[in-house]
Amino acid sequence: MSRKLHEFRKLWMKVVPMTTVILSLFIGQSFGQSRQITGKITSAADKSGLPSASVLQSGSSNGVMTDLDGNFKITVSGADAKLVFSYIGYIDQEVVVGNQSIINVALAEDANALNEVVVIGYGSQKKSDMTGSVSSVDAEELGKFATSNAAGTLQGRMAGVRVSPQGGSPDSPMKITIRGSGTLSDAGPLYVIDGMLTGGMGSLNPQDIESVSVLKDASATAIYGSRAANGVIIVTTKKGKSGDLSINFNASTGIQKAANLIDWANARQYADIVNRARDNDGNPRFPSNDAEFNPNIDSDIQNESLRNAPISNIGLSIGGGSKNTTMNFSINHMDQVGIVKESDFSRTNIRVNSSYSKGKFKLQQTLGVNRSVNNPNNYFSRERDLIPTVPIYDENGEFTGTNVPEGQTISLGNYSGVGNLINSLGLATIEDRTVTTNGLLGNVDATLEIVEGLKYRFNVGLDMSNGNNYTFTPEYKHNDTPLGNKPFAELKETNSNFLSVLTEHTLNYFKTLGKTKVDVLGGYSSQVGKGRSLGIVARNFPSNDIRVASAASDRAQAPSNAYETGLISYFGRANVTIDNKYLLTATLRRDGSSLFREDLRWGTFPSAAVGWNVSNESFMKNVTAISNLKLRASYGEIGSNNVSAYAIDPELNLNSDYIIGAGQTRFQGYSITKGVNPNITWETTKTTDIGLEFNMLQNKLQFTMDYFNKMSEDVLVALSLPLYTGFGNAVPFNTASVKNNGFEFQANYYNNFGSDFKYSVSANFTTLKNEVIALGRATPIIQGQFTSNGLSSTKTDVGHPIGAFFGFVTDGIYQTDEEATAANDFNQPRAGDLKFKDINGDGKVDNADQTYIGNPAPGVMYGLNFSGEYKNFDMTFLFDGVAGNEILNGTRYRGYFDTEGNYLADALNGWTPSNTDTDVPRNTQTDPGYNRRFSDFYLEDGSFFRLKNVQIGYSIANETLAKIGMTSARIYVSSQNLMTLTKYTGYYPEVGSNTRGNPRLFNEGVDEGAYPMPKNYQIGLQVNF
Amino acid sequence: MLLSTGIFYSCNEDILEQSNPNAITPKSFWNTSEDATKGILGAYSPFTHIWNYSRFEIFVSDYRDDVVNAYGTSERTAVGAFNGISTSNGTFWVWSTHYQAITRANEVIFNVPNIEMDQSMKDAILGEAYFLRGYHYFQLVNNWRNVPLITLPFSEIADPEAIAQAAPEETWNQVVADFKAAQGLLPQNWDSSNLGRATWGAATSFLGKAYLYLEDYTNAKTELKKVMDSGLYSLTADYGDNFTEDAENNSESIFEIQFIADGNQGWGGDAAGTGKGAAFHPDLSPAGFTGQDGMQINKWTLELFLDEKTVDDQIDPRAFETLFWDTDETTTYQGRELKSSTYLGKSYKEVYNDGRNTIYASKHLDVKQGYTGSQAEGWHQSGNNLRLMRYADVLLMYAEAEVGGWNGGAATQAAVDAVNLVRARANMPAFDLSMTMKDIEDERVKELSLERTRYHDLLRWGLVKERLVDHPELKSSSSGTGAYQPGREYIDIPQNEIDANPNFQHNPGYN
Repeated sequence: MSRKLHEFRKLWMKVVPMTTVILSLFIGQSFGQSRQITGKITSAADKSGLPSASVLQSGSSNGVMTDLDGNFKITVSGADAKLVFSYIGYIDQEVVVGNQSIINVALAEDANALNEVVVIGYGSQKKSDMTGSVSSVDAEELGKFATSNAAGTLQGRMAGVRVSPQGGSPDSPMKITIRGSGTLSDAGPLYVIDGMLTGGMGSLNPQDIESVSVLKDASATAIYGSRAANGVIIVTTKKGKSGDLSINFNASTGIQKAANLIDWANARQYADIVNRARDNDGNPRFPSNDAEFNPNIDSDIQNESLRNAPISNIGLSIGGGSKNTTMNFSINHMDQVGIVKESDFSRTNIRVNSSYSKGKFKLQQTLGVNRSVNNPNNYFSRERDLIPTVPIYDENGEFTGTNVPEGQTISLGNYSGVGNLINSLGLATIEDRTVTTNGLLGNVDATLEIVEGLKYRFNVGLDMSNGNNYTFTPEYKHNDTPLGNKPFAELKETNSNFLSVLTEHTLNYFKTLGKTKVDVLGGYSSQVGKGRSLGIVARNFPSNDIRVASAASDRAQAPSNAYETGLISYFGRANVTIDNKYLLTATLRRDGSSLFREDLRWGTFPSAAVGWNVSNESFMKNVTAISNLKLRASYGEIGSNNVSAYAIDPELNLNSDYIIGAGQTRFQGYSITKGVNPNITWETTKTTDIGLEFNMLQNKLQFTMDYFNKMSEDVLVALSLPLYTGFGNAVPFNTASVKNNGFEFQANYYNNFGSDFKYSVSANFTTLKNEVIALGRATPIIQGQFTSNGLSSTKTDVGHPIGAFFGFVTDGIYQTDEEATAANDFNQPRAGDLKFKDINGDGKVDNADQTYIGNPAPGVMYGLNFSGEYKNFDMTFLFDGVAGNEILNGTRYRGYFDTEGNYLADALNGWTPSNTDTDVPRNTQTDPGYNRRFSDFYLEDGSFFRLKNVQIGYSIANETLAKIGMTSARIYVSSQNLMTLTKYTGYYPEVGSNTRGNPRLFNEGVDEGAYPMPKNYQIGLQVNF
Repeated sequence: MLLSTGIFYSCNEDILEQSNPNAITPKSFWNTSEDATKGILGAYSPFTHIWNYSRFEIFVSDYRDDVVNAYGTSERTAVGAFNGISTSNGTFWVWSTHYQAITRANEVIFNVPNIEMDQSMKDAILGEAYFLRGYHYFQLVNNWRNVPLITLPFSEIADPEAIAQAAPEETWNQVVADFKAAQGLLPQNWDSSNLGRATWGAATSFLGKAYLYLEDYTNAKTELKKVMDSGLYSLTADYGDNFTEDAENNSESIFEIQFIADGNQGWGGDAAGTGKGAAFHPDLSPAGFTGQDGMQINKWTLELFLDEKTVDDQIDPRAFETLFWDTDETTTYQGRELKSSTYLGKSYKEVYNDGRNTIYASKHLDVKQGYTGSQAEGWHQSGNNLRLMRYADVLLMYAEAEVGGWNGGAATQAAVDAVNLVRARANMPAFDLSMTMKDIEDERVKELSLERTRYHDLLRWGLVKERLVDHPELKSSSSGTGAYQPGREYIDIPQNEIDANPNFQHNPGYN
């Protein structure tokens, strides 16, 4: 840290407490020569009183708020006093007091969404004053559908924001990518939840969310500095409103089923496929497929493992408040049983938010606690699953994994042809596993208006969690194969805890000087995160029913870990608005991080933006077709600090054991196994954004368009050190560059048909191009494993998108042995094998003939939301889709080539001399033609268009309800994933990435079909008291 | 209070100074004799990495020879069919564990001399480090030939970018120098609590072996004779004792990899809870008793065994230890009745009865342990040590050195005596002075098959092309030998090294 900065900090420390003390004297001070005005503020539309509306004497800080009925009482001074009446969503009115003592005003609703206030970093801003690219979502929509992960509710709603689940399990994480990936890691956006900077929003109850803003360009994100390069998602939760207590109860329940199934072979088909393969290979048939085929066994492990499963949600919220105090309390329980047996997820949330204000002092508090209990099924639909000729249950109804008749000494491998076989349902059932997480997220935020326009804010945020991950595998024996039994019971359990504390001081000064408005923010923050975990692996229990480590005779391992990180930041921002026409924003943040070496620790992240409200120019006065027109442009350099704690510290490995002594004892040895690069630092993303906003039809039709160009530099890429260094790890270097550019389009339209039918439509559309610009000395990254048998599928290299599919190109099937031999393949294909193209034209087919054959990331994504109201009915339809991406359907590997598991029924359609008109290669298990090599044979079009959410509700008339004490009631039916149009033949085209890659980024679009996506049908009830 | 909490955190720039509470740093190491011991054990550790002797080494040794006919459905076995291209995992996994051991040995050799500790312990530990480095370079130069020669800790190398592949002669010189240094420093014996660590006998035997590979028969003879004259070693009465868990570290054993089966299943090397057992058994086991693709034994090997009988006119007992095939014949040996059997004591007919007369391996499987398959209790289920140097090999190498190899002269009595010791233990009739080099070769096959030496024997004798490449049927279970090109007797340099170091080149035959 520089000397200057250090002094600045010292000064700062003195100033903060002193100003706090001195300036608090201003609180409650009154002004002389006063007289009292009373009145009421109402809504012009329905004449109802507006609570908590603002009454401000113009040019002063003298102001009050209306009470619950809209009444106010204010003391003003000066003969020419003017009062400004304002209320969010209404047009301000200014009234000259003159000699009036009672002033009643009716505020008109502001149909102009330009006055919409959008939450941004460290504050909020009128949309018309903004220079940055920020998307926000109508929070009411988010709470409409029961979902296990609140991040999922953002899907399809905003341009440039891609939300992808990792398959269909209830505990599926949601990966959010904003404007493409500018990093070669799994780093995602920064989340700011009620002022607390954190890593995700999955644990929130969607119904608690008040607003979500996604900050996309540098103008908006720079204020978050070193963690903002992947975008920032700001979530605020619902606060109470002054007024009567409002009680809202809601409940929904529904049923889910798999959207699509895979057509696996049945026992007869399986036996035929394997027999044909063995015949083709010149190998003997296996007894269980041939002479001893048992027609009474036909196991369908997929079907047996799936079910129609319930999903339900129940919640209660109570909110209200008085003039100076508001509060909101909510409790919610969500329960999702998985459509795959032996998987389920539940989450309980409790939230208390409150605010207290007195004069110039305001205190707000949020606190959410949550508990989730997750039982994942990690076995369904994996490699080496049960084959249809092996029964799921034995004659006693117990799980089994062998079909060798009793009394026969032959091994399962020799009888049925598989050396490894897992009864996935059996194992998932007998294994006991629970992942429990308790979390607490909240903040306390105190604001003091020191002098007019100058506010000091102090914010403390807290993010805590503790978790328990427990797996107990009892001793069992489904068969003798390595994966079919466990000779001893084993417990694996880990407890972990995490605490992150954020402290922020900000000063905000707002001043109007003639036609110029200036809004300046300065702040200092520090954040400390720490975690510890302690695990145990214990074996050999006195009984399968005793499941705590202390009972085990062998407590083999205790893996444990601790870490602590710190970040100190200084930041500032100035917004200048001149005559409502010219907008300027400049932002600077300086971050110091414990993750980096002392002299590389501090980074500075600037941005600047300009905006021009063209429609406010006089020359636009007569252009009535366009009701608003704004141009804006921004540039900034934002950081990403995605390295883990202690990544720069060399360390000794304490686990390099060897065995010595007559008693064969394992002794601890030490070694250096980790190469480190102490010189690593931030990744920097330089973003340019050019935006155009224009409204037509009196603002009923609104367009926002953005072009963005994100150039990420100094991207950390793992350089594989030479193996002769003895280091096993790849070492990160800041040498790569990644470019993302694209176009975003968002349109909203609202209107009425007559007076009964109101509707609104919003549409978004994004194009994206992702390209690796440089890797430095790092070699292309080969990843995308889709089987444990060592085949890769993606290559990340200069000039291509991250994780692009790279492999051979098929060109039909060899029809004759001569044709196959003539191809000069580096393997030995024959008639019936896949024909691979000689891409480089050198007369032979070898590894040099691999090429880029697909892109896992969609080039286009879009969403369309329609909501309407007709009399007592309301409806919502959310459509979304992607185009231009490919998916690696790993089921095609297992289903056509893997010898250890079931085949697809379609493998029966393999090439034979009499079945030559097919695109399925001949059945073979030895695969001399190496058909299984990675090629476009596995790739399918990943585009889809779907009706993601649909909901139709009916609100019961007020008069009826009043009699039973309700203010409103609504019943609804809804469905998620009701209809999906896709050519993809796996479970579902939303595949995320499989779990073999690290980072998973390089395995995007690699689908092993681990968990089908459910569609669901729900009914629900909402009641307000 | 909130405010004060805030200020407390704000003031504390110490939060940017974080040190790792999970591990100690190399800087604070190498101070005590305990550190020296931990460091040398860390250098032994790669032997039990799954990529080394725990499993993968077999893919670059026995899986490449003319005895084993391995299935080629995985790229890890590609090396065995001359397809060990630069990106095959068989190519780089084994390579990387050799260098792990070498870099750790380098740390010991560099740092331990500066530790104040008991001199005899210091010498022994340094001797072990030289032995380990010599051993791993021996493996590297025989498998990859053109390898980088690194003899300093990385932190001490002035210009790491300048590292290049060394000429094979340089590497050989280092092997000889390291084994010599080890020979001078290592003790003849360790106490029972340190059994398994390298000894003078191990260094001397491998020094002799290195000379033999270099066709320096005089020095080879001298060194091997030292072992024979030391009185430290003798053949076990029962040949089978070299392959069972019950008779580990026996009188015949000169250096062996220490394995245990303690229930840990994890793969890898230097992580908590990884297995340290023999996980290569699934790659040796007969079909149906392994979850791996496995292999079979080429017929000529069995025929060689059956070509002569014991003094009691029975099948060579070593055949039953080494192989599993379809026969009802038995041999009485050491009071036992040897039959061809595998897991669960089953005969070939009980298991297959397919009339195909496939020959499988039996050595090392130690089926007496009661296992029902090669992975019935998971990976690393067997704690059976792998003998890398036993006295019988010393005797056979001595005989070869005495004869002078293939271009040498007639057998000497000393050579015949050495071979006859080995034969007598197996009840095989004695040779006389008409013994030839071919007889020694055959004896090596019978005595040492599946003990990681056959491929290197073919290689050093220049017989890879003649015995292996020209007989694609020996690799019929994979893709034959069609991928062979001159130079492919050696494995290619891992692509990772070529990518990471512009000085590096592929081995001949791999372009």
